[in-house]
Amino acid sequence: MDVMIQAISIVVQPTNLLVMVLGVIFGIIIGAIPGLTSTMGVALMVPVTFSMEPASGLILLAAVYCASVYGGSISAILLNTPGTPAGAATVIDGHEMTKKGMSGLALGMSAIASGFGGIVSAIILMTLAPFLAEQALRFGPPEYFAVAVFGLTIISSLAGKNPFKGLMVGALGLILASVGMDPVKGFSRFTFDNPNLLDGFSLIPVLIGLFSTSQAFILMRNKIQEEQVIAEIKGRVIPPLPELIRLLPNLIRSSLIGTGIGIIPGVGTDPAAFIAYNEAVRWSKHPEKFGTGILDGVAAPESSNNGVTGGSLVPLLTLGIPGNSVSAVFIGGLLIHGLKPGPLLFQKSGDIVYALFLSLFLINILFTVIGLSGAKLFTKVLDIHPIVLGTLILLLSSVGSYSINNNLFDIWVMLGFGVLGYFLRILKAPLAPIVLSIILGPMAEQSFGQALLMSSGSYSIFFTRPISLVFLIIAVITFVAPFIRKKVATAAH
Amino acid sequence: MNKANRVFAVILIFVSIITFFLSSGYPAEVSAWPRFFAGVLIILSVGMIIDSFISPKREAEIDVYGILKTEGKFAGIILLVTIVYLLLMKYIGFLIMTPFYIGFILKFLSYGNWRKILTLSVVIPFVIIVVFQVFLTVPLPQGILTDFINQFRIGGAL
Repeated sequence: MDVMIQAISIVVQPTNLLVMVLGVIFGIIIGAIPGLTSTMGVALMVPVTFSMEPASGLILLAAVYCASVYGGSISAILLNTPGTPAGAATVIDGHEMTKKGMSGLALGMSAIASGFGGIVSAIILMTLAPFLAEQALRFGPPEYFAVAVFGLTIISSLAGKNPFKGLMVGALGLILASVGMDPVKGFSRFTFDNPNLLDGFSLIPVLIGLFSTSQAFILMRNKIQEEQVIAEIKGRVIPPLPELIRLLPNLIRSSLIGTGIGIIPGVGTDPAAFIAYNEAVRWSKHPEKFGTGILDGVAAPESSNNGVTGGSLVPLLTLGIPGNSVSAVFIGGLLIHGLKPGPLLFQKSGDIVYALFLSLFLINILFTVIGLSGAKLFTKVLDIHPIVLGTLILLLSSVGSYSINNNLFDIWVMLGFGVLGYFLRILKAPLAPIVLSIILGPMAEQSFGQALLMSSGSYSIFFTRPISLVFLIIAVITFVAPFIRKKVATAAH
Repeated sequence: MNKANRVFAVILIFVSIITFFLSSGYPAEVSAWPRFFAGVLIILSVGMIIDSFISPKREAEIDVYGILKTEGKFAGIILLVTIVYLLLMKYIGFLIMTPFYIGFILKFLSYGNWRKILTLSVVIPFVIIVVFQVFLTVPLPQGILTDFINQFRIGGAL
């Protein structure tokens, strides 16, 4: 109870309320601009949080994360182009509503559904995470190794069309993660006597390079801006109350789907939105109306993709497993404040964790209100030229990377990973596996070494301890499942 | 895409071989981890090369070389300019170098007229300095202007 009171006092501080508002506005802008992703927005904000209080920093990142997922629907509805992948399913009915002159209503529905999904996921996060964290307190090195292996097997579901490519990028990430002192013996590896590399590649410049710098190169590559037709916002914005009441079962179902999918590492916001949309069609009395521009088709994907936000924080905060690329970047935000995700986080910094939970409620309400009232203003950012955006992102990437340690070497790391990310994007290789590997690789190696020390070199320790065994079995299932699913789908076709 | 995938696989095999080579002098326990994954990377890379012949239509055909030849050229020049900018920034400073850097990129990418370019070249660094150096107290490298900026800091502005 004390922790909760402390958390409330943190959240209502004027600075944190201001941080929330600024984060929400920045997040909506990032989400609304096609080509800029939530991951990139959060990665750019991590260095900004460095000089803040830990709670304020995390609140800012959470605000950017939640608001950017919602922001993706603005361009999905008005431009027929989702601002973020999470908004892809919203295009189907959202843009049809725009064609019918009901863009205002579509934007209003998207803001309300997103806020609703986010609040449902925050409730589940707040209920589930402390319980899971308590269970995770029993974990020793073998369990942590099994958890890290489980986290790494998510790579198979992030691998995209060519599974080899995703797995190769993951293996490359694990090699890159071994740069620096080895976590058991303290022997320096691949450092070339450079003291900057003793602790390995600094995580934030790596994340900024992969997600932001590479995106800047892509934006500047697209020299000629395509003629965009931004539809005008027409009609009423807030849906009538009877309509909202009618949509309530759809909203609850979709939010729960989104939160559930968010908790499962590796699935992400875009599949969550499509699954919720499909379920909405399946449960509807008029499935034939979907795709013609109805509120139900906007409510389902939007409540689901924002449901993912709270859900994805469950494995991140309790076990230290980033379920998607945004939560991987979120880890960076925790680490620069000396907060190590995992069960001890709840014990050592309970006030900060609960402040984050509570702030999620306010953030979701805030972006709903700002979204409902300021949709017209946010459409203005769709006019910003990609060249200006690219230049600005490149500059912010450099300054952001430098600001973590005031070290120019970090800018070179950012640039190197930016070039790597650029080539990987051109090759259609996923970026998330490399980040997962860099975060989970050292954790896996350290706990593996410690577990073997405990067992005097016997590998049986991983299979004789029940929790470790369960995680290893889940890891095998997680790794194999996407391949089996693909085989089944191919056979069905 | 298949040809590009094969080149990608060969590059990663090369990275794996370098990993093996560089870790050859390390104690066995220290080198085991990177060597294991270097081995995995070789197997996966060889697997992808074989797969590109068995399932050539796994991925949609993309002219990777075409992209690199045309659009990649722009990215290459921007990268080069960024490297020069970062190298000089240490000595000349953020405040002086950044307007030139932004101006060059915007002009090179044929963005707008001179008035727009000049405005952005001045406004963007100014905003970044205010946000990072003033509000977030990040000491941006100011090179030859370090003393000048410090004077302002004592005066209270920066």
